[in-house]
Amino acid sequence: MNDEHVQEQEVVDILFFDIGHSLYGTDASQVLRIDRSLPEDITLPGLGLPLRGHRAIVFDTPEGEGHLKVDAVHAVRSIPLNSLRRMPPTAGAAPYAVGVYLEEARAVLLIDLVETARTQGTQGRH
Amino acid sequence: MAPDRAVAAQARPEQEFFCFRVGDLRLGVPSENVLEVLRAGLLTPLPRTPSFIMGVTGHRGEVLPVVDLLRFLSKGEARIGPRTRLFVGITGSYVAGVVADTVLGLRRIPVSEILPPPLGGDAAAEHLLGVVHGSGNQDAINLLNFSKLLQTARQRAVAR
Amino acid sequence: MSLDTPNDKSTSKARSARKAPASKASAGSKASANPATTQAQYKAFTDTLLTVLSGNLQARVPKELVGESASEMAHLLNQVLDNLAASEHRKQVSAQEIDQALDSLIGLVREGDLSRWNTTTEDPQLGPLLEGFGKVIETLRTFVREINEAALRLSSSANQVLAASTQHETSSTEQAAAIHETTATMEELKHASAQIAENAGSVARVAEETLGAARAGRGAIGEFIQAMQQIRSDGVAVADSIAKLSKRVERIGTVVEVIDEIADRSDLLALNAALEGSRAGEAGKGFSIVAAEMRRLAENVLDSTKEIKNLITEIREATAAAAGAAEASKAATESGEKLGAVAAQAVEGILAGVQETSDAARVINLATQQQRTATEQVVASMAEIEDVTRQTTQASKQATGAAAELTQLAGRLAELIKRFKAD
Repeated sequence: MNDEHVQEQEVVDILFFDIGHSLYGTDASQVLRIDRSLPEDITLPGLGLPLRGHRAIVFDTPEGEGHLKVDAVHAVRSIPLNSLRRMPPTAGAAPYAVGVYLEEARAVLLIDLVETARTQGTQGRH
Repeated sequence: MAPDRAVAAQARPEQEFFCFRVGDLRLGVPSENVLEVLRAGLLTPLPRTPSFIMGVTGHRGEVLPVVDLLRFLSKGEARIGPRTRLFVGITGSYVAGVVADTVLGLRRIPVSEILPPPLGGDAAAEHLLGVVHGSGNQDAINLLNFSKLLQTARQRAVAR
Repeated sequence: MSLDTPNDKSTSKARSARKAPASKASAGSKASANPATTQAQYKAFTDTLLTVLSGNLQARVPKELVGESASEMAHLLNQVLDNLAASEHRKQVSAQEIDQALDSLIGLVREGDLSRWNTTTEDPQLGPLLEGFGKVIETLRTFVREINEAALRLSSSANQVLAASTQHETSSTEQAAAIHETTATMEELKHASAQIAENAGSVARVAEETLGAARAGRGAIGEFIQAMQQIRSDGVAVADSIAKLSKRVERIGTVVEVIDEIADRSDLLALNAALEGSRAGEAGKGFSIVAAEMRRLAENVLDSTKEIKNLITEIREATAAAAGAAEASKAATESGEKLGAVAAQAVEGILAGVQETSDAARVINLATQQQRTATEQVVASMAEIEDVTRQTTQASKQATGAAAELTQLAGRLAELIKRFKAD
C-alpha cells in the first residue's frame, strides 16, 4: 500500500512568493534565481501591486530573462501533482493564472512566469 | 426527469426549487441544479476575471469558481460574512459556487403558480423562468433558469 | 663821707697845684716891691675869695689885676679854686646817684617795680653798696618771676579744676536724670512683662483647648480612613465578583458560539440532506420532511442563541459599567484615603504646632516672671544708684564751689603778683 502510494506520488517543486498580501506559487524549475528588483521589472495589476517589491524572480523566456517584481519569496516545497488543479474554464482567468494548488479549501494561484512576461509585453512594452 | 417524476407522483405537477436570498433578491434555482450547500469559506481572487467571478475556492478536491449573482444581474454586490452560504450549482459539465446570504429552503411549487417573467423587465429577466408570489409582494421569488445563466456566465468569461 | 671825697680830690689836685704856686710865689715876691700896686692886688684876692665864699665857685682871680708879682699867687689860688669846684661837682654827682638809688628803692617798695633798678655809680665807696642792692633786687626779681609763673599756672589749673568739676557736676546731673528715666522705663517694663505673662497664660489656655479639639479631629479622621479602607476592600470584593461574573459570561459566550456552530452545521446538514432526499424522489420524501424539521430546529436554536448573545452583550455592558463604577469607587476611596491621610498629617502638624505653642507660652510665662523679678531687682538697684548719684551730685557741687573759690584765690594771687614788675 505504502509502496504503491510512493509510486503514485509524483511531485513538483513549487516556489511560493508574495505580491502585496496575496500568496502565489510557480514552477520552481522555471526560476533561474532570485535577485534584487529593478524599477522596470514586471508588475501585473491582476496580481496586485507589490508593497515594496525589493525582490525579483528571474526566469528564462524565449526573448531572454524576465524579472517579476515580488515582495517576499518563501520556501520551495515539493507538492504532490495530485493536489494541483487546472484553472476552471468558467472562471476565464488571465492566461498566466494556469492553475491552483489546493490545500483543503484554500486555493493558491499558480503562475506561469513566461506568460507574465508575455502579458507584460502585450500590456506595456509594445 | 424530476418534473416527470413529480407529475407521475402527484396529480398536480410541481417543480422543486432551491430558494435563497442574496442582497434584496429572493431567488429560486431548480433543485436538480443544486448539488450541495456549504459555508462560504476561503476565497482566492483571480486575476482579470469578470467581476461576477469572486474567485475560486477548493471544494472536495476540486477548484470551484464562485459567482456573485448580484453582480451578474447588475443588482449590487454580494458580501461574504460568517453566515454566508455557498451552494454548488451544476449544469452539464459546468460547476460553480453561488453566494447566498440566507437559504430559504427547498420548495415544491405547483407549475401553475409560476407566472411568466414581467415583459419589458430588465436584463435580468432573460435568465428567469418565471415568478412565484407568496402571501405578499415581498415574498415573491424569481425563479432562475440556472443552466442558461451558467452558460451565459461561461461565455462572458471566455469571450474576454 | 660825701663831703670827704671831694676834699680828697681837691687835696690830690692841690698837691699838683702846690708846685705851681711855688714858682708863682717867686714871681709874686718880685711884685711886692711896689707897695701901691700891692694894695690893689690884695683887693683882687679878697674879692675873689669873698665871691667864692658867697657860693660862686666859678669866681677866679683876674691875673691882669694882680700884676707880675702876685700872678704866681693868683694862679695857684685859681688852681685851688678849680679843684674846689671839681670836688664840689663830684660831691653833687654822688649825691644825685644816691638820690637816684634811694628813689629806685622807694619805687620798689611803694610800687613793687623791680625793673627800674639799673642804678650805677663811679663812686668807689658807693659801688659795693649799690652792687649789693642790685644783687638783692635781682634775687627778688627771680622770685617775683617764679611766683608770677606759679600763680598763672595755679590760676589755669584752678580753672581746669573748675571746668572739670563743673562738667562732672553737669554729667552727674545728667546721669541722675538718665537713672531716673531708666527707673521709670524699668517700671514700665515691669508692667509690660506682667501683661505679657498674662497674655502667654491666655495663649497656653487656648492652645490647651485647641489641643483637645485637634485630638478629637485626629480620632474622627482615623475613623474616616478606616471607613474608606472598608469601602475600598468592599469595592475590591465587588470588582472581583464582577470579574468572575464577566469570565462566566465569556464562558457562556464561548458555549453559545459552540451551540451556534453546531446549529449552523445542523442547518447545513439538514439542507444537504433535503437535497439528497429530493434527488431520491419519493423514497427520499420522508427524509426531506425530517430534514426540514431539523432545519427548523436548528433555526430555533440559532434564534435562541442570538437572544442569548444579545443578553450576553447586555451583561457585558452592565458588568463593564459596574467594573467602571467599582474602579471609580476604588479611585474615589483611594483619594478619600489620601485626603484622610493628608488631613491626619495636617492635624498631626496642628497638634505639634499647638503643643509647641503651649510649651512656648508656658516658657514665656515663666521667663516673664523671672524677668519681673529681675526688673524689680534692677529697679531697686537703680534706686540705690540714684541715691549715690544724688550724693555724687551734691559732692560735685561742693567741689565746684571749692574750685570756684580756688580759682578766685588764684586770680587774686596773680593780681597781687602782677604788682611786682620784674621786667
